[in-house]
Amino acid sequence: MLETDRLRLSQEIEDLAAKHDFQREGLLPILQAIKNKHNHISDFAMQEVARLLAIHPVEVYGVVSFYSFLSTKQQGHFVIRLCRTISCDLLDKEAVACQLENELGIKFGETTKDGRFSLFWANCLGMCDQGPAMLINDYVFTQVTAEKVFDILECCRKSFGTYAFEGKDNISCFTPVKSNIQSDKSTGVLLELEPDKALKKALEYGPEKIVETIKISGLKGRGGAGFPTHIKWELAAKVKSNKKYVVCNADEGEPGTFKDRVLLSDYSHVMLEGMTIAGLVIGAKKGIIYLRGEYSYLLKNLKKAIDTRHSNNLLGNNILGDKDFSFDIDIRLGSGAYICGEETALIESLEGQRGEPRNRPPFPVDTGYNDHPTIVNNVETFAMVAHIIAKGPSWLKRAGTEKSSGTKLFSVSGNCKRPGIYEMPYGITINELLILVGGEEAKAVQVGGASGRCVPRSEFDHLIAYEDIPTGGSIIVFNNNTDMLGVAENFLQFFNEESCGQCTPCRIGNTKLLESVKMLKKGQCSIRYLRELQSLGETMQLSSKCGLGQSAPNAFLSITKHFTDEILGRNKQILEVQ
Amino acid sequence: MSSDKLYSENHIAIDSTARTPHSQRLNEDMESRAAAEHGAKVSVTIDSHTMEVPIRTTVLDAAKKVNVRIPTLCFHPDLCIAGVCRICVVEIEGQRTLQTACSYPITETIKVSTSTPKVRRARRHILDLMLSEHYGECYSCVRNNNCELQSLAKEYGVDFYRFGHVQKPRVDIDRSSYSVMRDMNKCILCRRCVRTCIDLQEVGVLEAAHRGSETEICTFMNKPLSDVICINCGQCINRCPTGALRANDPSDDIWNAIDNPNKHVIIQTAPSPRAAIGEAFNLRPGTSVTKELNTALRRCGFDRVFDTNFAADLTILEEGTELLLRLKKALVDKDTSVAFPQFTSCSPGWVKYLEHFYPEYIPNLSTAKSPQQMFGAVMKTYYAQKHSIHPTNIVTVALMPCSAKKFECNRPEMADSGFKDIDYGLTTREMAQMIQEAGIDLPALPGSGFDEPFGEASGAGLIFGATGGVMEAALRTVVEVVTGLKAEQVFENLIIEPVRGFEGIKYMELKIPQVGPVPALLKNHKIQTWDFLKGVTLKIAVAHGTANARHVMEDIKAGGKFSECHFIEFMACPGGCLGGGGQPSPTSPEIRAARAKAIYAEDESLDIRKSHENPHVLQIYKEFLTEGPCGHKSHKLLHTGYINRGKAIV
Repeated sequence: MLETDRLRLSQEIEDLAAKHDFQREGLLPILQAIKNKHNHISDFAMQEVARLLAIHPVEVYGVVSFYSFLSTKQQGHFVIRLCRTISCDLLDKEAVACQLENELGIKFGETTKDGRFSLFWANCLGMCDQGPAMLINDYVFTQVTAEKVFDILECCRKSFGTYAFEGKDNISCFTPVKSNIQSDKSTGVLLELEPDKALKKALEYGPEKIVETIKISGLKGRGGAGFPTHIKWELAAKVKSNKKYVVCNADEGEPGTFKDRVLLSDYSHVMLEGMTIAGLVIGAKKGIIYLRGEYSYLLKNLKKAIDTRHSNNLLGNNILGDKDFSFDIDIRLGSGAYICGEETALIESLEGQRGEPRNRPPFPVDTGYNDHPTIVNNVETFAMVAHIIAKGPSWLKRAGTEKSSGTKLFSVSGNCKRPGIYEMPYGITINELLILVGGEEAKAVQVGGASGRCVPRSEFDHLIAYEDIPTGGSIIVFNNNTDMLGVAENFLQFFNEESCGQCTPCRIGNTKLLESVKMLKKGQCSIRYLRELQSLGETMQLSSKCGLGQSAPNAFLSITKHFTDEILGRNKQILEVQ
Repeated sequence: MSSDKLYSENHIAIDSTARTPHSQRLNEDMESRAAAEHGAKVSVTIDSHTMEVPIRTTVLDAAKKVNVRIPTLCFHPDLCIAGVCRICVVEIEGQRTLQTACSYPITETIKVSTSTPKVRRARRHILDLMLSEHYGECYSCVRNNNCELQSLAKEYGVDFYRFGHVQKPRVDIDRSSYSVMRDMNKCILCRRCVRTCIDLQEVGVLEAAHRGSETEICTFMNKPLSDVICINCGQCINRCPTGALRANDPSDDIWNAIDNPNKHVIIQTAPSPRAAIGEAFNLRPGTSVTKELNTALRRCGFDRVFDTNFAADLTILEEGTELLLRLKKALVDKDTSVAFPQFTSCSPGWVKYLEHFYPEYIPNLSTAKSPQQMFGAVMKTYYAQKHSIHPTNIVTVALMPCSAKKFECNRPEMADSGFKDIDYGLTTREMAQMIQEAGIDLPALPGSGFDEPFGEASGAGLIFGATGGVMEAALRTVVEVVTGLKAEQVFENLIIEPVRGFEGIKYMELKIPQVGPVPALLKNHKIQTWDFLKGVTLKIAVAHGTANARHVMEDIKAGGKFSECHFIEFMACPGGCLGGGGQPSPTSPEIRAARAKAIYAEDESLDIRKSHENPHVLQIYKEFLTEGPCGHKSHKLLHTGYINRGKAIV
């Protein structure tokens, strides 16, 4: 590196660091900016960042190596990431992958000699209803076919710089992202809502009545864990602290989930309103949206929505004329790490750390972002709150079951005729849902994504609800042609890559489960060993540090339990002939 | 004269959590923290024991109080909580999942069960998982019989590899460092080394990198240790539960030298190993075995067994004189270029830390070599001449509590006599191994003294082993030399309490009430009188552990209180040398306190307790270093220079 280049880079990094007051919270945005501009983060750059933030270079390296969108190795101008998760897999991503390798003359994980293209796998891009999906830098391509690959690559090759797709939305290879809402929009969170209706009412109510209203409505967290929202907010409201934060978890990474994508693009103001109400309740002045890096294409619209609310006095100082109420919202981008959807990992990531979940207790409601009380809620939860406040406490209870009130957004993908977004009341049976989506032929349904469980046909009469089969919204349908071992392998591969790797049961446990699935495929796994692993799966559920590790073996356990006939007795020779 | 009139002390509490990585810190919830401050108590039941504990006590601590054993691996008493190995899981009534005892603060009444079917199965599984990825066979491991993973495997009855076992090493062993060897094939990712390096020492060599099944403990860009900013303190070695981290062992070469009839093999022993090596022979921590060790070393075949304390006394005279000369230059000659405060230079970990992180303060470092190196230089010159042995045939071995000493003796500048001062730095652990290998049962041996001519040393040299010891030794001498009073008149029983103890940073002021005549030993420096020191308040400080050193340095940089000090003792390791990276594992605050107690007790049992009263030291100035401390010859042999290493990793 030339001395002048060094100086220039050094100055550039200093400017970036200054933007973040030389605080560690700025680490991720700084690294993202360096990566975007230089296609990698060099040794020198990492040391400069460390120097300016007064941390150790190895800490920066630890962070860079943690996030899959950051890299210490030089990558191409066009970084292609093809989704390898199960829904895209069912839609034949393999053909697209082969064609990409053929066209570029490189394998996955490599960069072309001319430095233009790098090819990687991605874990769930949230386009499961319109896969196979592929990301080129910030651009999303859906319904990619082997045939389209050439056109897309040509478009890149012939472009000047990296602006290949600016203003080219109408080119034939580009299929715009569809919201794909299949159910009618008259039930719940998808209803129209005036941009200030809930907020006005919230200001009228005051914090206590808002909490009371949410309590009566029975709202539980829509992310999947189902923690009662009012308790979380009330706890955070009670803690005395000069700084509090409202965090919106828009790190939607669960394979098969894409409802937040739609909420963020089509219903952002409802979500923003919910966040503002949360700020009012807990006494926070600042909200942060943690948007997954894969959704960075939504950034522009979100910023616009925030600006609009600013100009309408729905955000900023003295909101709606209330001189005691100020609230602002920032957006922070993730960098390709599923684990950051876990709330404490998300907070770590916001603080510029590796996204490693914390020990609990204490909980974020008293010790969250920068040790200040913080509530972290799902996009859908915030949107729901806005509706509940606007429409009154009993509105949510119109639908759902006693323990799971209201409706839920389902992201449906896989082997069905009408994949997309469905809003349905809790308590719907899997059978009913399958009829709606055109998946009557299903032999199994994965409810809750990779961390959910695989429900066999014999249990299709079960309810989707917190008290029966809970879900964050992911529904993946498998028909008779699906190899359930392949499904287990895909999910376990996912967890091997996406586990944060800090705790033993999750880090090594997932490796062992994946090994055994590969053994089963070859017909080399004894039933004795399979039983050991099922028992290990239970240990992982009990003793892992966070929700990811605790739920990682779910799919393996349910598949090996319900599809014993299908997975056992495979013969090595037959497989080789195939 | 009453001692408290003369000096004042000040222990400084510094918030050292500022840079602790959040993920590895026991997060604190405010409500219960507030309750804890008010001394609130909470009831807890652990198995069959019900008791009251202060709110926020962890389940692990509560269990210890009633002697309920909960196994731990990633937990270490010196480090913040990680909660990553999960071996300490327990069942708490009403909770869906198991909880880690090390991280769970008790804030309400709970009922804990530490041995249920779920708990036992989970622990066994976790162990089996670790063993499946832990490469290596116990019988070919340096930690055989002293490995926490191995002990747990025994405790939990592991008799087969439930989930398989790696057959081949995954990565090469990093042998690049003179001091620390890393064999990541044995790493179980407990992250104790990370927390040691980043939080405890604030050096920042090691951190977890990558994620998922690819997670590993890495240096910056996975470079070899010799290429990154490692200060060789070896604190990571002491805290590693397995054999993944170890010191670079020279014992084969030492055996070869011993077996070679042409080689005159000399070993010098530092004070700290004597207070700790017994631990390797199942003695209680704090059992001093100085005399037995001498016998053992002779039986191992060393030709001479010398006491490093002799060189420590020499160091005090050189370093003390250097301080007085600096004071004279500043106060009498009004030379503004003199660097104050003067920093001690006997801890090679600290020296390298300063060379990397604060190279602009190199002029503040005393130019005196460490006792180890001084002794080496003396042996290859004075001793060689006196006994007519050619220096090439002398092999000098230093038994040290320290891994950084291995690096220090290999610094190219440490050969001023034309020969390498010290040939091998040997740690306490390696020495214990050599003794065992020779079939010697150390505790059962009869005692014997050190060899002449360096046989007797002062208690001042001895207490170098504990934090504050160098300062205490220096003060015993400087006060006496300057004031003409007996040090005992100033410090009762020669104990200087303010610099003792394990407080991270210690500070003391000492007013010089009167001055005496300048001793003859210093005649070459043409100091006529100490009048310039009369009434001066000597300000001194002591810091141990590089994290504390960093606080002091930052304060000096900012022109704070410590920048007004005259003399500061820095030790790289927590507790000083007795907590060194070459000492037996395990280490804990209690173990270090026991070792310190042994050292101080031995000091009090000695007749000579002041460096300048050591007859051998006086003799060497008479016979060999005839220009006295900091004279020309001293400068050539006993002093050294430093390198501006900086922080860039290339």
